[in-house]
Amino acid sequence: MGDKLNILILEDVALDAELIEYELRREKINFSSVIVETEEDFTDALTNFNPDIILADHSLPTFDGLSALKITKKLSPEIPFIFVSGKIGEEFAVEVLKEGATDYVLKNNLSKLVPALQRAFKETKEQSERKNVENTLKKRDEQLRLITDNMLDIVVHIDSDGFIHYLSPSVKTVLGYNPEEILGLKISELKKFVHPEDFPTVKTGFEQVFTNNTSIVEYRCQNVNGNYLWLEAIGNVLASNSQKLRGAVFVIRNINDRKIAENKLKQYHDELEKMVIERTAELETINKELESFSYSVSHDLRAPLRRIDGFSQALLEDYSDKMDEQGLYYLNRMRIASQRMAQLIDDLLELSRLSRTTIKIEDVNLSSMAKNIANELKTNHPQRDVNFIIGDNIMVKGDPRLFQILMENLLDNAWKFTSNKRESIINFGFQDDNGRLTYFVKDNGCGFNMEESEKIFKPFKRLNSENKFPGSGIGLATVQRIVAKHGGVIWAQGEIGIGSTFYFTLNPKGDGRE
Amino acid sequence: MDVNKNLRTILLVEDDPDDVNLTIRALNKSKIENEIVVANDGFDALNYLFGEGKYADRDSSKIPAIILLDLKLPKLDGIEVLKRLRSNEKTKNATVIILTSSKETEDILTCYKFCANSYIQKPVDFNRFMETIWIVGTYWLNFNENAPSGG
Repeated sequence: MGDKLNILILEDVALDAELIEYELRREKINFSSVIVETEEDFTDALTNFNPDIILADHSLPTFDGLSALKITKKLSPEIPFIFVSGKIGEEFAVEVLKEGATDYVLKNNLSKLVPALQRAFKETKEQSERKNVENTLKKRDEQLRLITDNMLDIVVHIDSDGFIHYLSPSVKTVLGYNPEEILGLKISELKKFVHPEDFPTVKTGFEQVFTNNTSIVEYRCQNVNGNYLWLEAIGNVLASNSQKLRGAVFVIRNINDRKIAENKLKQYHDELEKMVIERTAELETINKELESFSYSVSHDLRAPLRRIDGFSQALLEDYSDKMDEQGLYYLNRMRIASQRMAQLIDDLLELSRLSRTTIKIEDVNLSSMAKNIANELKTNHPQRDVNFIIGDNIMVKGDPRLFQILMENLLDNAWKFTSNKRESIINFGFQDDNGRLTYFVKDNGCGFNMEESEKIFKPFKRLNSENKFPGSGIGLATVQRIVAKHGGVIWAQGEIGIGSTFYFTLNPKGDGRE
Repeated sequence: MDVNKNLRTILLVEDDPDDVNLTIRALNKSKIENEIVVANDGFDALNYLFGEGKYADRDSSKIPAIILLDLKLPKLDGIEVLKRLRSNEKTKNATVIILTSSKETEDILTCYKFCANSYIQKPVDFNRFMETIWIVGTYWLNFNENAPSGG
């Protein structure tokens, strides 16, 4: 008690007041005091003197201690209030203590005054500390309440016995129920709110909180209007020392909009998938039809041609002596026409087969392929003088059978269109355009008009007459399809009388050179 | 038409009269002297082979030297004829040459699956057709050793 104390003394007898002050001084209490005896002065001192403690007599001429106690409790309840009286009956003592007096001391035993004072201060200190703690707790409680009251999510505390111990008021906003309707229910009683299909998930989710410490469940819950809403519950186990607080806490969120969007997306996805399956099936049907069409083409269209050719041949063999030159010429033309049509049919079939086959990827040596084709052409047409320049070891990745058709067509073409040249040069090689390899077949043949370079690759588009250069007009269409199947492009450059060059690229991924 | 009665027959299973005509012409041109029997559909062919129907009095133990079988046939198609031939003890070793317009991989595979001896696509060019028939005839009639009968 180092600080100077303000002591308010309610006493009408001056001697008694002096005795009190004497006792205080004797006990070395550092204090200043105000002595009052009327209600007015007491009240005034209470507010203006700021007493640390009040020592009050029991009865005064115009005032009394009990009334003073009541005023104190009303205005400054924290100030310790000690009765100092001549005599105090037991009943009265009980009454004043009940009213909030800190203690009482008899005037004939003033030696007890200072210990009572000290006890009072100690008690007051403890009281104020307790009050502080209470205030802090109250504030925190208020804060928590504010948060949970204003949360959009529902917070549920389920105790270890499975009873709903706390439920945030947001249950009203989210589902329309009053918390009191649900509070205190057992978790199993919530079954009626959960969509029957989702109940097993909810049950598992609830059990998981206790086995895995946490769990997330999405489920449908009935709101107060009877509609089901999608909710997401995130649970966490509560490990508290207090049995009452143990259990689990769940944060439940309305995810209905998200779920609806997700379902819609899934529905779109399913529809799309269904559509793809249907389209694929349709395509397969079309492919099958195409196959049966090509079958009938190969079988039915070829048969009459064979007969035309056969009987023309029979005529030539058995009746040539009965026909003149012109007649024989006509017969020969018939045979050539029928054979040409057979070739057309075969080429068309090849083209349609190409579109349907899936390619297999292997390492293919285009150089040796080109050399073999060149040798064959030379052997079949020994009268021609053609100089083949073929780059070495041009390796590509792709379908060897298709590459054979591709190279045959390009080299056949070059061979055909250089037939009018005395010295033909056919060149197969590649060039590196910034890392992208472009392969080419170049000839010094009759060439073509660049305005027609697009047409070249269309089936049956022929830039030259059949007489000049025979062919079905399908070869380059086939080549283009093969290149496309290998992820590449093909284009042509040419100049009339100078020559043509066919360039093609292949899928860079499967495209390499050793 | 000189037909050597001592030689085994050639059974031509073909429904188109033109093709019958041209095939017989090609066989004749190839100097093949075996008797040529024509069956116009699959049933007809099986009747001949098993000595049934209008061929009831034929000695069905005599198996043709070669059977030239078209695939597209009325009543019973070529594949079916081949299947039945191969599942019959008498004819399971007969020489069957598929002679057809089709070049479809599927057809070729099916024929070999049911043990056709050979598969030939009729060329449109009659000269080549004749050449083919000549080669077929020479090979199967002159050079090939048939399985011993009953074997």
